[in-house]
Amino acid sequence: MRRRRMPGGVRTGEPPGPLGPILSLADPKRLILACAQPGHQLNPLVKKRERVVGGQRLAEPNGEGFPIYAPCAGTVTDVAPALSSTGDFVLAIFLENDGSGETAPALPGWDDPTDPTPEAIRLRALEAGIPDVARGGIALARSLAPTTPIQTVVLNGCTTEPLVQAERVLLHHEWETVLFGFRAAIRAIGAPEAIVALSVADRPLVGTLSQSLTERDAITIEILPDRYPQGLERYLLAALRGVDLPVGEDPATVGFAVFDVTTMHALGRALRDGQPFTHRVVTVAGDGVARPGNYRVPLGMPLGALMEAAGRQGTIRQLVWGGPLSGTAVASEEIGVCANTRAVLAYQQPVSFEVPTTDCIRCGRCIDVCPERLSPIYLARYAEHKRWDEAEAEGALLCSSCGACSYVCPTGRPLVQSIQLARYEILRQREAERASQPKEVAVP
Amino acid sequence: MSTQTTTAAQDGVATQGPTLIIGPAPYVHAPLTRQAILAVFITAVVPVLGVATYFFGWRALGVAVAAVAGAYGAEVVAHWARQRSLFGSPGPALVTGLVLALALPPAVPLWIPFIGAFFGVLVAQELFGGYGYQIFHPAMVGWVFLVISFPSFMEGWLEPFELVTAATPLSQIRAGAGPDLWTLFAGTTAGALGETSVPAILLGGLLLLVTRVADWRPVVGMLGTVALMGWAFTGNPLAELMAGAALFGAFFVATDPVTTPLTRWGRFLFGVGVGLVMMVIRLWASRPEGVAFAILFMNSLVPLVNLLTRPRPKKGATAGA
Repeated sequence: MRRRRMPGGVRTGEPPGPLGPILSLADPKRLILACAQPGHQLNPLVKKRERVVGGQRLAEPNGEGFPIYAPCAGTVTDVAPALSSTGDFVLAIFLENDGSGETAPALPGWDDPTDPTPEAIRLRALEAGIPDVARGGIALARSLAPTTPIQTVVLNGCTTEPLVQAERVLLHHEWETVLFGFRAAIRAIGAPEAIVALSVADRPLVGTLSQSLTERDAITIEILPDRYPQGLERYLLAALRGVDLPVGEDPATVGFAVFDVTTMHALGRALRDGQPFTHRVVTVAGDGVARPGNYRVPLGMPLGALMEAAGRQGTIRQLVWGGPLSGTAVASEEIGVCANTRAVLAYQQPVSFEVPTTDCIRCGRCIDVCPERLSPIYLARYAEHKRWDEAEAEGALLCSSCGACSYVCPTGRPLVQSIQLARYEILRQREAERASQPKEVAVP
Repeated sequence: MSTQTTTAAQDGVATQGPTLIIGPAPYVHAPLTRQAILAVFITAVVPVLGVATYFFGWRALGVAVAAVAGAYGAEVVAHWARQRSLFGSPGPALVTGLVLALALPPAVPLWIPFIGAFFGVLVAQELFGGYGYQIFHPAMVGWVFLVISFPSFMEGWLEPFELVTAATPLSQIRAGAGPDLWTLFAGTTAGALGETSVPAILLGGLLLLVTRVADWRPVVGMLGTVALMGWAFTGNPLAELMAGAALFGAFFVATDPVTTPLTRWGRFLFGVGVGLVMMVIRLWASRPEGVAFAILFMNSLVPLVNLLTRPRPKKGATAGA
């Protein structure tokens, strides 16, 4: 149970509170709602030209998924494949807002998170279409029904990355809703202990937060240093409790459940107000918008429309889906905001390779910041020379792709990208070996 | 981009915007880029060069210009030979040239810094593959080349202001009558252009540490070792720190990113090694000063230090396939 700081990492330099307000938007004219969830595709419940109202169910899972809902009233213009942030095409529902603002009646709510039974909480999480954002968007209802005993539930309030404040503003401005959801999650899981983990930038919040906690809660607030990628479960649990979560393992294997702020906020709204999950807070930043800030955005809002709403400025030449270290530049503005869109960064000039790539100066900063104690300088060199076996021996598969090494590299070398390439090649080789083996051990 | 057209057409709305450019993260970069590092380093040298000019006259600036010209000339020649664009970033040449110039005695003729820097950069840097690939600090290689090839010119020690020939404090200390500590601190003693003034070196060195351009570990490792050995063998650690090139070498040479170890512990050990070798030379070898030799010796051990202090990924961490 020894507490320790995560090794390496970079300072985010994010300002402490108070943060600006959560900005609201007029509902956009068009929405593109993706029907893809990890492992499967949803069954659309609506057809082209059908009219829907806000909060109406649009698609249903055909397995272990969750339904999705219309953020506003309007007409379905198409049910067709649409481009996603990864570059794949996925089935999507195109919705045109009719401006009527008509909504379906809300489900009944509870005044206290201890009123509903654990079963009712799980059912509502499913009914409200809430994903567990931190676990790649599987249904929250599944995370609330762990198969192994959970000792501690953690609210991950330090998913900090430079520029990204989407989770922090919810803690600052809508803590009551987040706490409602978090208390319900603790109840559903039946864990005896809970932790709210904050970044040191949010230390001023501790007073307000602890005032709202009661004796019955068994929730402690812990402050962690301002470090990226402190929010990754492996480093979070190491810092909080000195627990060693093996790479690629679920926190449940070591008795923890970790939830992010957006997910708990959505659960709070679903239980208290009976609202389905249709909006999330997105940080909009970069010189491509005149009004950067944290916006409450309906799911499915095309990135282009979000840019207009935030005051498009000049010609946007690079549009980043996610944070500046872990995000990806996308090829189109016609992608709808999803549950995991924490930030959208817009730039008038491409900012990739803004620092020109030159020869390595062997300063060792990449080694200093690596949270896995890898040596990105060597890993990248092995990858550049296609020496995959040596890259594997150096620990390429341990890399969590946080991108801290590329961020600090003074010579702008694409270190994490080289390691990802090595990782891809190593896993491909393994796959090929596995595929060739069954033939040799043929059944007699 | 054709995909975008399809989606827009399906929707019946013409939203084909300007082309978006995709490219990898990071989209925000840490402020310390290679250029910023070199710029801060050069800024940190300015007070030292300023005091050198104040002490020894305009000649000090001439020495600096000649050394930088030699370093940059070597780069241009190497770029020509390797058929690259001739004029690259002047940063590395400025750093090498300035460090070499400040390690030279004030009375050198101007061709001395020029050929010293030219040799150092051409042989120790460009022949090894250019800036980033050198194993030995080019300025120190240039200095040793000059000391071996032109020993008589490398003894031109002058008293500041009066510019008359004088002995360096280190030789005076070994002879048993060194200057008092305040004189050593102010630096109004004979010595290499940049090594005498303690306040100027501390000012520049502090800038390097505060901006994190330089790691504090090699500095502390080296100066700590010098102080310990000075205390143990001469009883006067402060004089050992302030006389000669120990301070200048610790802040401006032992902190070079390229020719020092990759790991934090490695850099500390590097500093300790430099301090140790330097003090051995000072106390028991025939030369009064040994910073350049100590740096070069430790440069040769860098691969070994890297191997010894290599970070190991945590044991038991298994990779999910």
